[in-house]
Amino acid sequence: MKISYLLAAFLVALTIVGTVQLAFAQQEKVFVIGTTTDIQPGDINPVKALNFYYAAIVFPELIAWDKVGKEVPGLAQSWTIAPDGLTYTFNIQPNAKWSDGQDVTADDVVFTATLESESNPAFFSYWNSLQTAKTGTITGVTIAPGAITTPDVKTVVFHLQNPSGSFFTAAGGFPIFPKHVYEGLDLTTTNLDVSKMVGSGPYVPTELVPGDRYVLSANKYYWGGTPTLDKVIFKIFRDTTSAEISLESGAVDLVMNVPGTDVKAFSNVPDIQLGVEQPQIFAYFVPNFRPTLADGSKNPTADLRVRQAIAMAMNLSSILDDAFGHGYYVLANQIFVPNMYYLGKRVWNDSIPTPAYPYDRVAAGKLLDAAGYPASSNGIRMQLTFIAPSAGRLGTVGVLRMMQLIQHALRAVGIDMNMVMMELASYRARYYMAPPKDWNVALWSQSQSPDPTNVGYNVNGASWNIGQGGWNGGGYNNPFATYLVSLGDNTTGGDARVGIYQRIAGIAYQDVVNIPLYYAIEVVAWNTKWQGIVLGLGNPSYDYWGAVKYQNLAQLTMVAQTTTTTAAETPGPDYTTLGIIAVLAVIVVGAFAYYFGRRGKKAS
Amino acid sequence: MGLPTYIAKRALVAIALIIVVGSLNFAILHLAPGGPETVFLNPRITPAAKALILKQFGLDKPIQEQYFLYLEGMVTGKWGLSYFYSESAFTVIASRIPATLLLMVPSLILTVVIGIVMGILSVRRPYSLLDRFLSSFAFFFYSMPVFWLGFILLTVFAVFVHVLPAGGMTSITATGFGIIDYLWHLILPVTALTLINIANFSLLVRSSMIEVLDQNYIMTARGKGLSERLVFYRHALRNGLLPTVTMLGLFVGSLLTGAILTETVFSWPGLGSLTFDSISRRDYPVVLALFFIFSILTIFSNLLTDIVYGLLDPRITYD
Repeated sequence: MKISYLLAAFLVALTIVGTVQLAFAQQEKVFVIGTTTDIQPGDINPVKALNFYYAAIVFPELIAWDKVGKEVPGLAQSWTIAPDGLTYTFNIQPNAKWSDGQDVTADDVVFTATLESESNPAFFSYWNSLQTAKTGTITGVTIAPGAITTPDVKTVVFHLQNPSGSFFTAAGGFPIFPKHVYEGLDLTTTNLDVSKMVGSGPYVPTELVPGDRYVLSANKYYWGGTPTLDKVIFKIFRDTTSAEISLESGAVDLVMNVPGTDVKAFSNVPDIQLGVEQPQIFAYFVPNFRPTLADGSKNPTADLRVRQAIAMAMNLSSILDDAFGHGYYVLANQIFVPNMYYLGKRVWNDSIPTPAYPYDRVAAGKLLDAAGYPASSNGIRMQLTFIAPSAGRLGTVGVLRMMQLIQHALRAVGIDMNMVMMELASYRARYYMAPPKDWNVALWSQSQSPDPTNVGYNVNGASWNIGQGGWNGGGYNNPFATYLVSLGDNTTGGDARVGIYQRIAGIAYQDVVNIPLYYAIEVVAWNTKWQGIVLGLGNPSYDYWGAVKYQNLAQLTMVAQTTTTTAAETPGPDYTTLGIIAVLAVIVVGAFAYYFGRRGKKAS
Repeated sequence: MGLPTYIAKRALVAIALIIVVGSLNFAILHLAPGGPETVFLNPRITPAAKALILKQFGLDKPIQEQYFLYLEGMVTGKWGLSYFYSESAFTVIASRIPATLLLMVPSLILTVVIGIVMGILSVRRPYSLLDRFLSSFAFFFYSMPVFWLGFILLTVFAVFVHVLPAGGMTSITATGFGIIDYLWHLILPVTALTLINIANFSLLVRSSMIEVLDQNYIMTARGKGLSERLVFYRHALRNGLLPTVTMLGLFVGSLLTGAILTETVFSWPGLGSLTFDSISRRDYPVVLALFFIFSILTIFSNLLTDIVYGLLDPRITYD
């Protein structure tokens, strides 16, 4: 009796599960991206966002970048830069419309520049070549009268007060917001409901659940043509492993930032394809350049010879192969990533060798001897404190393995590396602590934007840049390098500006301003039922490129499209296995029921 | 002293305790190295911009002024604006509570029920094969890391067998049958949490019942000729379950703290993950608000436990 009840209950449950499967089968073409980058309403708020990762899909910029980093048309169909670098003209795509059908006009660009200048502390400096002081705004500035003109509805002209090499990328790479939606709203205290949002990209937000998902639906007015997908969903995961499991189960279609250590496991999974995106992230050691440490002792890394010795003590290619797997990193040799371009010209300094510093332990030892650090009886010459984060981009298993191998390598030349790993906030606080610092070398990484300006600040010795939150945490101070950085900021000609930054890269190399380690390669995994995945540049500082670039998302298609359903959730239960489990469960439960039934009879 | 007086006295003490705990939370959080500026102020933001952002969040105020604003917020419910969500801390937390309750309440009920049943089954035949099996079963899962168990369950049921979802609270592209969808997604995380926590109750019930069954009044009951079933369930069980009330009170106190690891593995957007993220990001308003809520819940659930204990056991008086 009891066994039959149990069996009946199980069959009912199975029926429910089956019904659920059918209910969840999809009629729409939905592409689900698994990501660990969280989203909150402020991320798509023009004046609150600290980055525009998610906003850029909805509000495309004037300029886009192709898969090798060269500028291509985005919302702007074309542009011209005056020879004096003071006038920038952008022509907006003639058929660009917002998702509510209204035209994208030059007024939207003016509105964006003004709104950001007046209200967004994080990005108002991007427009500083156009600004004038104004009381009453959050930032204390606004766009100067006449700084932006609109000869016609689709043309916007920027009139700079002084040349700015970074303006083209800063302004051209900025999301453009709709004036008719945002004008008059107090965005500093509220976020616009996603149901009211309009965008000019191929997809517009329809749902945002913080910590869970970001749902975008197709924009039929998209100027690049009707999007091929009905919906794009960013599903937020707490960690990459959970995202990978969801990819394997079919719940998501693409996962970014797959760790190199997981690549081998994925290689054997059917229906999953892997690809790599070009590196935009530079990982390196930052030496402390100050002469003394916090305890008053002499700082060895202030000596060029010590920095060179550290660099030469590491067989980096071997270390990185072990840590990340061969092919899943690019050996770094300078401060710029290989895909840094300015006006189509590559910033990369070809004269810097790869590896930057040859692996030579004997030479490293001689350098340390010359620097006044002979080996003691136990072989140790010095102890250095290396700090590193235990979370974030550099908190991965691969990076930890790399650090352990470097520790061994340095030990071989007599450097005892005291490795200190901290959670992210503590790590940054220690990295930016007021000098004298209590560490010798810090592990750091830089997600490089499309313009070389910020990378140049690695060698900028200005006081604000060396201090809290600056680029130059090690305190390198070379007046000539600082001058070059300032010159690069104010130079607009392609060849001239690129030459300045190549010079800066050379100085950074000669002075070992940092010890280059690797350029991170982003591994992307996706379900092979999709075609049209274009791999390009990895995740840069303020835009998703490559596989999740908005232009790419607009033209994805499925390899085999059924006429009825495309299940975006789990494909359906494996009924054979389920049946076996069900039979076993019934036997076990039945045995218990029989056992207790007999016991009950005996007791009574 | 009667019950109302006891409650009033405990409530006063609770208020004082909340203020002390809240102050300690504030102090410890601000003493931790790194503040929110180290997390969200990247080098790309100019010093002038950083100063503006800090001013927007009130982080430019002296620490004592921030403390008094925090105390005021505890009383008025204005807990400030989250640095990362750009919404009030109250809104951020409130949006996560349903997810956590949805996960923890069924888990708690199942844990208690199954744990008690297992404990009873064990003690009915102490040291028998069944007792040893159930105890081993409980210890096995008790000693297992929850995140590992979670990944195993996901791998087996979501990847190999394809019968359950691979995480999340709802189907990514759900179009209907909301309740069933929620239940479907609850199965694995609730299973993981329940299996891990069953041992607490089952072993507690077992040891408590063994002690009770050794009492003189049980011997008297048997001597009077009552059936073993009657002796066990009517006379022994009620007293044997009393310690479970205390355990339950402790569990309720942790109800809203959520299961951080479980929420991470199953991508469940609850308070546990919010707590972890907010601490990592030094999102002071959200962290302090969460700690405040947890303090209240823990203190008052303990109070409730004491009251219920007194009601269940007439030997207990409120002195």
